[in-house]
Amino acid sequence: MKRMDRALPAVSILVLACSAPFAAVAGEEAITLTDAPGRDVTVASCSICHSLDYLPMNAPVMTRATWEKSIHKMVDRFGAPLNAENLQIILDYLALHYSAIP
Amino acid sequence: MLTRRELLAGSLTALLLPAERAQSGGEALLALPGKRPLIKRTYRPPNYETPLADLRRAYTANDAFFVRYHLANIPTLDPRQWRLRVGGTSAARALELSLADLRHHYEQVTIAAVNQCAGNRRGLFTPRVPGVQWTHGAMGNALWTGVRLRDLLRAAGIDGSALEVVFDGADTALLPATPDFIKSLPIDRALDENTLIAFEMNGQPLPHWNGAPARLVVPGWAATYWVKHLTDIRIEPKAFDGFWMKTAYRIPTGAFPGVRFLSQETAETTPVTEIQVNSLITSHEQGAHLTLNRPAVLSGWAWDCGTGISAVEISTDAGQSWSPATLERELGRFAWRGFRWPIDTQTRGPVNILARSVSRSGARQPDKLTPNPSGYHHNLVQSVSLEIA
Repeated sequence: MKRMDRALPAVSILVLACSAPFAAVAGEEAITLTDAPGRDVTVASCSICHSLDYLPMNAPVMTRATWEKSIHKMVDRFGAPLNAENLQIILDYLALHYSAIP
Repeated sequence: MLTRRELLAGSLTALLLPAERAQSGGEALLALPGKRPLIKRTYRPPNYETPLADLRRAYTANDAFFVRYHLANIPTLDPRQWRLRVGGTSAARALELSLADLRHHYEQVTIAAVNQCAGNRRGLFTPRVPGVQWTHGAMGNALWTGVRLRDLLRAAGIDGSALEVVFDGADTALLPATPDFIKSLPIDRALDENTLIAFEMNGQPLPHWNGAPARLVVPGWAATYWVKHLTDIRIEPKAFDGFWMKTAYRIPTGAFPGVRFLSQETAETTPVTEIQVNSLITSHEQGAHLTLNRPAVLSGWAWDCGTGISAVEISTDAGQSWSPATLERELGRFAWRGFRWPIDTQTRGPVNILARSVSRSGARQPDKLTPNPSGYHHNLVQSVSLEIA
């Protein structure tokens, strides 16, 4: 539903009564990413919006260039709160550990 | 006692589900609440694929039906409190309807239709493309029961300015800046007699993960339009310009057959619309072994955007010659249609079987994929290699 519509009575009842908390779902906490520099920033940033299985799932398809495009999409299109420094850390980490061609 | 960690690692999945694990190529099978174990692609948002073994029935079981979300905040709606609002700039009045209103004040209809993700088989694209790496199971066939969208739109009053109808569901993003999942249809498709607001699937209330209490059903069109947990319908005089129309779910203009969504089309790209002619062999997994001289039958499903299937053709010589499979009775023009073909098991050794379907409009599955950046519309002729011994 549109956020601006939340003030409407029928919807606010539903939202208050039924919204799931913004949190990890059962099982996803077991996903572990490669232990290397940049992992903590990557985990903290990416898992705000989605489980981390997206990363290994796409790794065989990805390169540094496509990860860069993907991360920019997360920031520019989806509003991911990433500063330039963390964006670079995540890009280096994914390019090195989750790419078909680093 | 199994921990989730052990289950996730896949080490014990075989103990729990030996048959299904084998049939899904060893991928993690996990059950969402209310669902049987499905192929987990992603946890959050939840994306779960139906294993081949669960695609053998004419109507895919509700608890086996695939799950696909873009956004991770998915409220469980109380069907008694749920309301559907219908209105918009091009509507004469605003309606607010309960589930009881839908059931009692509008004609109820049931339609059999394939629900297929536009990105079904994305994981089979060569070269590979990013996105959820679906294989064959981001689809299913079901009986959808509900009311006609056009009856609701007419009750709201459609004025001459109407261009698109916009649909929003209760699922939202976790961050305020993430675009909400909102889709639109051209007014003529919204007014099509087959476009429904469905609250039942295979005679049961819609499962939570498939859009309870009500979802849009657009037979013949890709599942991206079948908005789940529907809450708002707006008749509008302008092309809806949200991310999920203007940027996502688009293909190169002119690259694929199918009806055009003109109010959303640009010179470069156009929205995914109708399902492409396609088929799926469900009787045998890739690499299955058959016993010499024991009768065996290849079978599966064929479907398109609603013209209906006129033939399924089989080749065992790499496409040099084709012979017709036997078609089962039609379940409806938007449903899939069964086919079967006796396998010659009198010769020992490998056999490679190709299946391709032909629609009543004359469209035939291609032997070359049309590349597109997001991996939509994979309908390549399927090939299954079997071993006779």
